[in-house]
This record gives sequence, C-alpha cells and structure tokens, in this order.
Amino acid sequence: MLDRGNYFSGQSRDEKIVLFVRRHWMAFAPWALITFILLIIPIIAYFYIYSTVFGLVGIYWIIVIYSIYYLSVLAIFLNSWLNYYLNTTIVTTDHLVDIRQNGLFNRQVAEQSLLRVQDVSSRMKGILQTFFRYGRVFVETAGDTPNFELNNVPRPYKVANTIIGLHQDLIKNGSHQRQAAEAEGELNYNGNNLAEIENICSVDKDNNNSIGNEDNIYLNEFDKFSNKPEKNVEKSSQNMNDSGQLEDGKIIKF
Amino acid sequence: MLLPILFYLFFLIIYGVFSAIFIYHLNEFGYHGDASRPVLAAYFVLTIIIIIITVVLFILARSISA
Repeated sequence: MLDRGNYFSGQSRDEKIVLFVRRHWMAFAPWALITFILLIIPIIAYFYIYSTVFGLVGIYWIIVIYSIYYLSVLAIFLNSWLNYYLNTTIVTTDHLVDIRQNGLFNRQVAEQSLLRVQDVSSRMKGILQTFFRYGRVFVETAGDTPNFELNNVPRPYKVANTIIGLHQDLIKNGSHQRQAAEAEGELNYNGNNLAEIENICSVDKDNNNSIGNEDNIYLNEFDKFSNKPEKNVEKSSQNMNDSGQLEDGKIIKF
Repeated sequence: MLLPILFYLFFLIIYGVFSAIFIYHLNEFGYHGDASRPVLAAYFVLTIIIIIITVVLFILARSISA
C-alpha cells in the first residue's frame, strides 16, 4: 500500500498534498443499482421458472449455477468499486496528478506541473450534478502537454479555485524569489525559464519558508468555505490541532 | 453429481486468480487508512459464505436424494 506522504511515484520529499479528490459517490451509484438488480434476479427467476427450466436439470447443477452466479456478481461489484475508488486526483503544492483505473489491467497516471496550468474551468450539468454538487473540472495546460479532464469531482468550483490559486501562488513565489535574489545579487536570473523558477521554489521549500505558509493559507481558505460538515470531505482528526483547524501541510480528502 | 462438482471447482480456480488480481491492485494502489482493506475483508467473508452455503446445499441435496 502507498504510505501517506508518498501518494504517487513522482512526489518529491518535501512536496505537500493540498487536495486528495476521489470521485463523487454518485459516479458509483449506477453500478450499485446494477448489482442490486443482479442480486434479486435469481430470486425472482426461481419462482417463475422453477417448474420449467429447473425440472430439466438436476439439483446439483442448480446449486452450482446459483453459486457461480452470485460469486460472479460479487466479482463484478468489486471490479466496479475498484475502478471507482482508485480513480483519484491529487493536487500538491507543485503538481497535479490524475490517476485513472479503467479495469484491472489499465491504469494511467498523468502528472503535470502546476506552472504549466493555463486555464481551469468547472461545470455542473444536469439535475443530479446540481443537486449533489459534483461535476467536471477541466484543466488546460500549456504547450503540447495533454489537458486534464476530471469527471465526477465533488464540489468542482472549489477544486478549480484551489488549482488556480496554487498556480498563481507558485508563479508569485517564483517571481518574488527571483526579485529577492536579484536584489541581493546572489542569483543572476534573467529569463522566464520555468525550470529555473521551479528550482527557486524547491530551494524555498527546503528552507521551509513561504511555501509552507502558503499551504496553510490555502487550507484555511479552503476550510473557510465549509460552513458545515460535508459527507464527501473527510477531515482526519490527525490533521487537526486542538482548536479544530487544519495544520500546515495536511490533506483535505474528498 | 461428479460433473457439477468438477465444473464448480474449475470455476473456483478461475475465481481465485481474479481474486488474487483484486488483492494485488488494492494492496499496490490503495492507501493506508482508506477503505481498501475493509472492502477486501468484506469480499472474502462474502465469498466464503457463498462457498460454504453451496457445500451445505450439496450435502443436503445428497442426503435427500439418498
């Protein structure tokens, strides 16, 4: 199992998780309904076709068929749950990571620097999405890098705002560090190279300076939106201090 | 009676392989403290219950037919 603090393979040592988003439970609801229907079909069938079909085969075959059927339904349910549950999106102070599990043998992990984010949009469409507050978040990235389309995300507006805020702060921190370094004459930085800005940010993180403080601001801002406890937001008691506020660098889970 | 039992055992072997793949995925890609372990435990409990019920029904059917 993956340990906390090591949520994806490319995570650096000091990179902090800001958002950990699973798909909304409504994305799994159709599968739960299908499973329920599959469970009751043999019970109904037993009464209707007992005298016809069951009379043609022996009792042992009936037992075997029923057992195989229910084990198969269980396997289908677990497979669909696994596809739902292992689909996650992780937003760190530096990266956006989208993990998609499509079946047992198809797992995709897309990772992109937040510096490359150009535009973030969110959408809730339809009665169900509006009522249960989930929808789509679309993250447009610079260049030829693939865009991110996060479907069935709970509270998409807040997720989008958080990504935009992190992106802007990452740029702002890079810019501030560049100006400070230039003023002190310690760094001769004269370009818009994103890699160099990232290096400056990572230096800043090593010193536990502004990045850590910014995390705290984001978490508090995010927390500020939540006036009442929400079912799809799990705030671990371990992540909170005595006053009930989220501590620095802790995770908000959806 | 032998043929249904052999068929069932063959199915259980395939089912066991798929279960092993499920376990691998949840162990490999799940996170500590999430719902992976409880769901896996529930899956195993339900599987064992179904198999036990099947065996009991087999024994009952055999005793009735005898």
